[in-house]
Amino acid sequence: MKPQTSAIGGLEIERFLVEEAALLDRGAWETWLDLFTDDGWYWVPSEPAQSDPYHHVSLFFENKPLMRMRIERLRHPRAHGVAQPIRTSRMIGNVTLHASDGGDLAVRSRFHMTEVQDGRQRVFAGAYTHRLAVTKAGLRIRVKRIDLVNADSCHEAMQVFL
Amino acid sequence: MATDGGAIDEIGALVADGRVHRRVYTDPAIFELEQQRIFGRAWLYVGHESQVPEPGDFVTTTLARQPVIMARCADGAVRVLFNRCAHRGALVAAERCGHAETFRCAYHGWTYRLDGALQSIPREEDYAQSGFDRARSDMKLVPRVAAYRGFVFASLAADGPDLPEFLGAAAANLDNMVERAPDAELEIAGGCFQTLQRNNWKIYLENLHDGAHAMIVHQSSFDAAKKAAAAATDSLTRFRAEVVAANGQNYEQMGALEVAAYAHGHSDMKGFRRQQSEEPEYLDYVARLEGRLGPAGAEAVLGMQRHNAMIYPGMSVHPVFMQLRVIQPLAVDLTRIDIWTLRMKGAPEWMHRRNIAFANTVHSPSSIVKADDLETYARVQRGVGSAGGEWVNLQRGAGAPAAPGNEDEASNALSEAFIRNQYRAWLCYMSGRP
Repeated sequence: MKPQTSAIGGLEIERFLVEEAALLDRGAWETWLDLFTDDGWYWVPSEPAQSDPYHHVSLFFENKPLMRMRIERLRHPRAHGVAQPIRTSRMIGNVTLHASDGGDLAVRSRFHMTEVQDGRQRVFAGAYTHRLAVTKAGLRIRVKRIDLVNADSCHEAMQVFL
Repeated sequence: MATDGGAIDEIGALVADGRVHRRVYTDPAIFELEQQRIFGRAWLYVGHESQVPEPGDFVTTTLARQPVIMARCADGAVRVLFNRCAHRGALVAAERCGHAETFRCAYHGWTYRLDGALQSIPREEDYAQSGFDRARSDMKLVPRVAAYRGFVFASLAADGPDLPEFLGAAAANLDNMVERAPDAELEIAGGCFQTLQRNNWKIYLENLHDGAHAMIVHQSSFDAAKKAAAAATDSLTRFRAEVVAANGQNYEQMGALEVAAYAHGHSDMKGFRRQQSEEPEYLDYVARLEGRLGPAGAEAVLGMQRHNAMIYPGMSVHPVFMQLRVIQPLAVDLTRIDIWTLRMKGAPEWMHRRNIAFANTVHSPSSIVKADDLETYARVQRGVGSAGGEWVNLQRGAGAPAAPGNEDEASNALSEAFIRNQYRAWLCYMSGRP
């Protein structure tokens, strides 16, 4: 772990990540989306160490309007794929703070998420990389990158944010 | 096939005019027979020549669940081998892709040339008195391999129609993909999605030209997408939203889309709309196509808008957005779809970026379109497992008079004619009449 270079404390960052995870676990996606900056991106590469989201496919690569489109669909009364609700539980740990370009913070963590739908359970695990903007309103997510340990595996439908 | 005439009669009874028995989706014995008689005989897409540009390059995949290697050999030819060591049967290449001078089995070190010919066995003298037949100890070649404009196909059967005859009129979709590239050359680029579906492989194929499901199944995503498209401030976001919103067309619009069904179960569907742009890069792209094909030729290529063309039973392409899907049946109720994007060599980079954005939107496991398709397929699979009915109805649009270009009946995106056409091919294969 590199030395902490920010006035923002490690505890504050950990609290932010835990609260973010809690919003996702509650399915409070609209509130969660407010945590992003207006130019924010959500990216789940389809290969380990993928560097390019434009010329290579990604499991998710969404800006704020596209995240909002996903949320609108999840809320739709005829979203058949979520007729049986999806429930998730996340654990976050191994949080490390790195300085980043442009005054933002780069925060890495590991996560473990269990997802249940219609009695079927699966596990997602990997690394979160948050690029966080320090704003007057508090920390905001500029980029959330999720590197799944099984990014390049065969997947069933992934409907909710990881 | 003379020895199992009874079984053929039984199969024939499963497919009637305008209906199929639920067992075709649920019976593991029928699934096994399909693997032998359909996937074991038809031409199946293996890979694209661009994946193995140099001698020694190889990729691995499965054909009818059997592991195979597609390799560029020393003589420059692309060959397809069963991925099996002649000694104790181990898989020889475990990687998805790679480069090798020879294939060396990880078990006892038997080594093969790229074309499968046995090259060496460690301590071969141990076989001196064994009667070991070295000449019969190569890795076996798949019986037939042929390429069509860079697309490599293989058949596990030694006989049957050749590839051009098999593809028939459906080859026009592959032609169209190639001709859209300024240099008439494509390459696999930008990775691959693999998605798992909890349904019989046929349930997937039966949805591809079904325009009557879109306004029902996809309402949640196209309602969301229409809002997103209206609010979008950049072109790529608008594109992605519009692709999803396109499912929101009404019955009249869907009914205006022609669907053509061909011999061997193939079919294709007219696309929703033409991609146009006034950007200098796009106009330059059109000019280069015109330089190669002439204005009328370029117009014919760009004007051909086909959606989800199907090469039965194992492949579907979306020519406009350069998408290629490979259907991999895993079990009677489990199917894997491999989705690739092709890059047009010499085309502006933004076209590849747009096609990757299309893949992310429509073909990613996270697609908000696909989510409701997969749910629907799984519901069909579960429903046909019920004794609440023996037959699945496929009569929609039947009885309309024949139209030119179609196998034997008129068809549009509201008709189930393309499914009936698939079952004609299914019955031919399953009855041993390729």
